Amino acid sequence: MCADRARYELQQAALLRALHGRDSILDGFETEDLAAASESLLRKRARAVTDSWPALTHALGGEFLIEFDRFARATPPPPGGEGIADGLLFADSLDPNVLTEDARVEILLARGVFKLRADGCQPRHGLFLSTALLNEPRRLLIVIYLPRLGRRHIAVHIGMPRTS
Amino acid sequence: MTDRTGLGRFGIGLGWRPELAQGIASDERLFVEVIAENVDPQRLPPGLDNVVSQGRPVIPHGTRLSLGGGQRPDPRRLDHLAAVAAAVNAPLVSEHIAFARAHEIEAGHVLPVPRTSEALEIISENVAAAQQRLQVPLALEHVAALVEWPDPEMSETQFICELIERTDALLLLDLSNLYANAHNHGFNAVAALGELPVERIAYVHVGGGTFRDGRYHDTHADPIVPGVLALVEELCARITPAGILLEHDRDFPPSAELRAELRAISAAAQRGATRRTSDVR
Repeated sequence: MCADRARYELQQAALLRALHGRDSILDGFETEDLAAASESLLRKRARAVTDSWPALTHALGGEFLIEFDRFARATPPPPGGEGIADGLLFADSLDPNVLTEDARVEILLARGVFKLRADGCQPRHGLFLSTALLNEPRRLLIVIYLPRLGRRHIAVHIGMPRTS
Repeated sequence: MTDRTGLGRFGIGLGWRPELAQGIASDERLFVEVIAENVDPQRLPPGLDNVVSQGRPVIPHGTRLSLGGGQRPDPRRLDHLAAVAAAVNAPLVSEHIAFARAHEIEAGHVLPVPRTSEALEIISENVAAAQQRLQVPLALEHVAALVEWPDPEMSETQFICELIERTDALLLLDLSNLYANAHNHGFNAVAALGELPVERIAYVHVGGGTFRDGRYHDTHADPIVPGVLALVEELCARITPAGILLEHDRDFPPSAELRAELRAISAAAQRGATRRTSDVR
């Protein structure tokens, strides 16, 4: 017998699409088992993100699971980096207006250590510089990654807090 | 000694996680398994390096080789697993009988394979490719599966037996996965234990889980259920496994609770060993 690897992989890809909520029907499988497995994968993925991203999770509060479900149906898990990488991708998918300052700081600090690539979330090795203007109190957050020295960040206070 | 504890050269173990590093460091009797993808072989995580230097067994456990996938295993991933094995002086490595991706779509977990002769052929080739690259023996772990492929050509135990025989790999017996599949797919776990090639067991996994909507979920975040401890006893009534390792991945309990779980596993193994000794007499 000569196994047909291409067909075999095609079947596995179809199962993955169904489990990730991108196809609803898959012939031959028990529908309830499929739904349970899909729910289990989503829970596992969401838990990995909440573990790695406390401020982002807090910022979304009760909306977290709704937003993450929307994101997860459109975006399969990254090939590496687990919750860190998934959380970075998830953060990118959100309306920046829903993010608290703590969440923005968390995202920026993570970007100072990790970079997203096609093969997942990889530790930085090259130079990185990014800034964010924060309001409570008003300050400029500067995050730098320097080869061999790692991530450094400083906050420069730039005036009185804004009043609305 | 073996007869009294019910366990062989590894004894009782705990999956290495950063949150558990301190507890693992303080108990030199524990052997360790580490998720290979989380380890940089050039720079072992703090705490794990001490475990290695103490000469305690450390087993790299792969989760992303996708030995059950349609693609042959990625040489870079194999090289990484081999490098981690060398860095921790591993006596063996382990991976899953599962697929982790297909057509560039990641699963985010290890998923079951179809139990067909075609799958056996593909996975046997993949395992052979892995064995060729690794410097230490490879143990294969069967997975817990909430969903099964339609029209299986053989039972799970038949599939495992056939794969182990074809590849000459070792078996990583996960008693919680066995319990989960027996509960969720309606077969007898004790009978299944009798059908497995227990003489090929490298070591054993147990983990906690929970029941939700009638299904058992192998969460690695809840206490071990009595049914899994009963399987530990049943196994040790038949053989002396080299070691039994507790997997705990999140929601880590206080160290006293964790130690109590390890003691419960040891006690179940001892009960099994005592039964075996009594049967021999």
